[in-house]
Amino acid sequence: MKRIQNLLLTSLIATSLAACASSDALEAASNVDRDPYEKFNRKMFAVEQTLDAYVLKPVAKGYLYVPQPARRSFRNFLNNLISPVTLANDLFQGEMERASTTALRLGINTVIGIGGLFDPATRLGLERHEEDFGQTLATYGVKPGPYLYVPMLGPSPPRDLFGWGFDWLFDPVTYASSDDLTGPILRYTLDGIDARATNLGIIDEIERSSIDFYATVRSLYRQNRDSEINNGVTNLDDLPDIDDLDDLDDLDDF
Amino acid sequence: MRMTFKSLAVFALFLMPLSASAQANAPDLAKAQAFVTALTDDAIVILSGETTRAGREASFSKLLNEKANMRRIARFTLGQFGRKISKPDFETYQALLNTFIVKVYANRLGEYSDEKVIVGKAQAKKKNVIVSSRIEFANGRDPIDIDWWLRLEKDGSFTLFDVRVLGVWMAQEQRDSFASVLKNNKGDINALLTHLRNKISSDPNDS
Repeated sequence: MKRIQNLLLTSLIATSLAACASSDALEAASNVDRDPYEKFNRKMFAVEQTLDAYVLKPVAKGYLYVPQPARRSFRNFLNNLISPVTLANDLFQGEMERASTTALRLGINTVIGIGGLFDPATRLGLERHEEDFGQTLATYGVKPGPYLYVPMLGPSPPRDLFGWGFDWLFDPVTYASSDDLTGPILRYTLDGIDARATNLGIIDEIERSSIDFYATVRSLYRQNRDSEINNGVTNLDDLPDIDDLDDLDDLDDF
Repeated sequence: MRMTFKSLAVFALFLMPLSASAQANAPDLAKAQAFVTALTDDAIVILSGETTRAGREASFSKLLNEKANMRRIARFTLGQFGRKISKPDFETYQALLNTFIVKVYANRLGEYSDEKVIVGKAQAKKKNVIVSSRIEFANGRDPIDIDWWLRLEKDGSFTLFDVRVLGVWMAQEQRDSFASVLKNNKGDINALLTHLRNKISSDPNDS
């Protein structure tokens, strides 16, 4: 446990250092070469793949023997458990309507859904969403900083790594364990196993069909993250300009 | 009164060609939604009807060639490198990409069988139309939001350009991966072509 504490401390220091770096440097890192530590990141990614092959994937496969309704209830329970973090960040972002949805969901699912094991709120039209402090920082204009890959945490640029640590303050499981660490780590592990099991087929398929799996994961993460920050809203102004691809006859002029 | 009426009529006549030309340029959103409905209906028929992998891939390839502008997708996925390669290399790339996409997505979409597609709103900007949709699963799995990026062609028809699943545009993801391979091989298109060939030939489901 001490090692994990040290790891977290190191990441937080690294994050603070990155945050202290000049904004110009971060800007350059995020726009010109958004993966300046690619060599290191690829090594970390290889470590992750080894851990996945020997630990996470076999465990996830075993977890699939649990009947589907039980897994569904456990997923509901985990989703409900993290909702105070979403609620805090809805409020930080000034998203009052989304905050009230989260608060209502939390109340309904905890009481009527028996501690969150069921999700009657969705059936009442209160759709679930997730927010974290990384997204909150992004809405205030904080750039992600250089891309970092941390084994077992996945893609974690400084902004999101810091946000992840900060969210622990609003996470009830943090206060459920005497050392403040066991609860969040246990929940994170269980959440990871469930997510891996649910997406077993599609992740394998993406890995098998990618010509550069590392680059694929990086692209998936960045795009998905941008989408989460925009609350899933598609903004046509953010789409790449493809007008110059229109003159397809140009192809003859190579 | 008669004068006012006459002025209005002249004014209306003057406006008509303007509004007609505006309509000709603006994509028809209902038509775009119908395009997506037809496309997803066809895809579901293929996914649920074709039992063999070869049959599924052949039907999927036909659908893609009919509904998507593969040439535009090929140019886009090459990014800046698209302007540097020779025409024969581009043609080789195009052929490999078509096969690669069919193999990848016929398989990835296989994960999404047993579904119902609900086509939602459409929004347009210049020749681009984004049609939203939601896939609902019979097995209680969380629904998935999918956006369809259509492009209005010169002849007034729509073609598919990109698909966004869970916030990820697929063609952009491919472009990022291809750019990474090209960057790590000093921009050598042959490295990308070799990677694509290897992926196509190492398809374990072919054996």
